[in-house]
Amino acid sequence: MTIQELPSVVASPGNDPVAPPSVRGRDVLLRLRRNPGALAGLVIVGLVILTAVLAPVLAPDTPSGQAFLDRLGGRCCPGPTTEHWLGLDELGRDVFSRIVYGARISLLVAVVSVLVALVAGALLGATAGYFGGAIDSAIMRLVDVMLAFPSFLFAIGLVALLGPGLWQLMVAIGVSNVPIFARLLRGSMLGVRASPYVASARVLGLPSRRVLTVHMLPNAISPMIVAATLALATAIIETAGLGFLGLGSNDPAQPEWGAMLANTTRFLQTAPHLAFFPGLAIVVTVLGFNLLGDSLREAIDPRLV
Amino acid sequence: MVRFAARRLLLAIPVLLAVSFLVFAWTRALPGGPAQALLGERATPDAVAAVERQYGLDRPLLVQYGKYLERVVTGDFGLSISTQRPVTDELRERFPATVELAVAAMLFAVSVGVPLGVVAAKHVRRPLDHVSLVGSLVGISMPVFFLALILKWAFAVKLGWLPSIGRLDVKTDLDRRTNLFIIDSVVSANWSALGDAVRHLILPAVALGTIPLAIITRITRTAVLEVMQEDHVRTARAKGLAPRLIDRRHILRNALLPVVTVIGLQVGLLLSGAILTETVFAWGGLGTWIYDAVGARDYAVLQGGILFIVVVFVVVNLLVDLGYSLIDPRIRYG
Repeated sequence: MTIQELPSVVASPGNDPVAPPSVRGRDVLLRLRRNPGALAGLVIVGLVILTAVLAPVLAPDTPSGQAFLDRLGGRCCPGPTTEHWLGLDELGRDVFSRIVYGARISLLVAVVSVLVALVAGALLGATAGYFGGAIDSAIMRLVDVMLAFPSFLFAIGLVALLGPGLWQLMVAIGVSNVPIFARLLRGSMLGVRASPYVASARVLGLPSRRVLTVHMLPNAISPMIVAATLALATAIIETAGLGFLGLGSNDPAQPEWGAMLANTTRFLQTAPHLAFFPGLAIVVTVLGFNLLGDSLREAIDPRLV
Repeated sequence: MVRFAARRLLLAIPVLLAVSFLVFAWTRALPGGPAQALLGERATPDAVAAVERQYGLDRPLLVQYGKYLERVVTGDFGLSISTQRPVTDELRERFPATVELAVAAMLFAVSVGVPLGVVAAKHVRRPLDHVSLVGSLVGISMPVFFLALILKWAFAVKLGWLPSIGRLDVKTDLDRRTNLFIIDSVVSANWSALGDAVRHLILPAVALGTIPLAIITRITRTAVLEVMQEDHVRTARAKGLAPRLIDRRHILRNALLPVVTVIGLQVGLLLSGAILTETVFAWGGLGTWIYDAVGARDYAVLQGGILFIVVVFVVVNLLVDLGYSLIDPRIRYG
């Protein structure tokens, strides 16, 4: 038996009646294929990604292109017509086009911010979980301080500091979610650290870095994948929330779904479609990521079902 | 129990100190100073310097922090730069508004979510269960401000059943002692004010409570399902206890632990959601207060308000921890 084989043999469910269910890729995929929720989530997320990629083809107008309102009767915000499927906003811009382009902004901000949170959180969590002791204490106290703030409030604070803009949004949402990932990875690292195969790898004299990267991280990572998928859903809601408060991008060529909702309170009586369609886009996208995240969790750890 | 509470309180002190410094340093790092915000873009440097001297903003950062901490300990958060009123006075008006909203939202979420979760668990894998699962998934995916706008459009604008903004009608008279309008109106036996306050509270509370409701429903369902499969429940059934008694004494009590944890965790969500909900309904609480303060660079309000929210958050988490040992006597803290 080679050293590389050691962990898989020791951790194999077949040898250990209390071992967790298999998290091998093939089994996870099999369980995912049997889950209608996973399929629904995948279709929704796939469609949103496709919309974002094909925005210039799908959208009949540019996001900042204005129709002449006077030609449309001069009143604010005509509702859906055959020409403008989802109506026009208060500046005469095509709502459908803006929602289509908005998919780009929401996905971009969500993916980048979750990556920021994931990488920073994983670094902190892995360091804490691997070394333990004083390093662990120092990192976890930092995480405690961050967790003392409601995360949305933390994000508002960071945006206020950094100023409005897309990358500022990504940093703010990313940093405010770091504690979740740091805690999660630390927790599963602590669990893995105590397992027999890590002890065996250490006894065999493998260097720390190898034990960490080859034996501990891959076994501690599956909850992180689930958390990251669900965090994408939260990030889209938080992006929209910050946009709604006027803390998103000021650029009219970057239509953000939450920001599109921001002005609608004034037009709620005359043009409810302005609030309805961008809001629906947020709900459907978030629902897709939530379905996908839940199904992944069930597939990776079927005991939770 | 007392020792555990004391230890947790002591542990919270360094966190609160770190938070207070972080908030302090953050307000100082915000672009554009408070003097500039107060005097406007075209203020002369002399005028800016004078205002900075008046508020002690020209002194070294650590000295300012020390002074600030000294005052905070005595409950003095300073003067709001935009309203010239003590932050503590504003806090006394704003905090009860948010508490009233958050408590109403939580009551709605728990009183609907727990029974719904139990019913779903009892009908597991049947249509009722599926409906509740899909419903809670949609609830979790709903941004609070979108739901708030939809509710406002449907029930205030279209149907006209409920008021769309504020906490009380301008024509309603109320003796405001606690600023919790429901309590104030009950204490002063002002029933018309009570009705008015409740009518104003319904839409914001339902909007803010829907996400916690969805989460509580899911957690209750899972917890009840887990407990139902345990040996002690089977034993209770075997010895012929009445089903209702088993539900109440053996299942619900044991399933409550994760539910209480989740209720505690929702406090952060409620405070975050309150900022957005309050904006939609022009509810004069902490959320709109802090949001306005960010725009106005009102340092005193930001420091006091955020520090206060964090203290509330830490204390509520402590209470939740203590709550465990009351619900589950197996948990004994050393």
